Amino acid sequence: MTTLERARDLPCVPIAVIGGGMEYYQVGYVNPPLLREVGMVGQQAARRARAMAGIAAEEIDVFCLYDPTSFEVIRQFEMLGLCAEGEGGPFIEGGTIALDGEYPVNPDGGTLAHSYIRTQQMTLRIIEIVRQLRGTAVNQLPHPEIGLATAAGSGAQHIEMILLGKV
Amino acid sequence: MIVSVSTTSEHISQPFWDGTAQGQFRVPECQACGHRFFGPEPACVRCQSRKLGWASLDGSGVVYSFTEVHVPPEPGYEVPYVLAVIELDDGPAVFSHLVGAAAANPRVGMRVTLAFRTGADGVALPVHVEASG
Repeated sequence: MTTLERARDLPCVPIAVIGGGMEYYQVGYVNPPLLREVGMVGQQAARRARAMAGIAAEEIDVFCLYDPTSFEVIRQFEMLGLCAEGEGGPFIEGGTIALDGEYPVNPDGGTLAHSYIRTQQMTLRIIEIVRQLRGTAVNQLPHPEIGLATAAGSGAQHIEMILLGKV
Repeated sequence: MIVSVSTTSEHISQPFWDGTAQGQFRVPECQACGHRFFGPEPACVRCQSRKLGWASLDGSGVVYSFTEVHVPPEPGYEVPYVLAVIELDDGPAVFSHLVGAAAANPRVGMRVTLAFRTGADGVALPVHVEASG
């Protein structure tokens, strides 16, 4: 990472960090997570990240979400406010999160279908967003301008997220 | 169920194992705010106080969720076993194993009580069985 000024002079297309947030519920991995307690963990962090970037959730073009389980992807759409709480299941049916869907998720396959390399899987989420915004991804989306990467989630009882954008 | 335990002597969890050896189920209890949680941490997960003690619990509760595990996380497990989240009446939610009839027919919302099973290595482990009556 470097300043935007220096990045503009480098050979790669610069991508900017436009927002971010993190949120904890008690301490990670203490007590099993209960849905009524952690079902919406990250909601406040997502609001802060969107406010920093000055965007609405609907403006995000590509989602690289932490997906240790398919459930966590569904939950994060509820957390982001793109659907109502409890409606994430029906929301993602019918290709909503497919490559050609309205909210494409993990074009690189994510942790479920690409690789789970322990904590470094978090870096892969960000790398994929950068590649998508630069137009150099393997499963390239048409002209995405804003991407969201998340790490951890309800099971861990904490979440981190970053919004990246073209400049 | 677990038939042998590979790590039982970490300093922070020693009071827990001392308890199970005496047929007690202990969880950390904050001496500043009274919060009970599990497993052990260096500070209270609610108020961050380092004044922690241990509460010996009755261990009765309700099954919040469960799954049947067929691939053991490490050697020493007899599979399959039923891993459950139990919401304790007098403490936090904890992971436990359902044994006996509870394992044959686990149900969300089932009332369970605490029991102990001693593994091949002689270590007593808290488990849960269906409450009678």
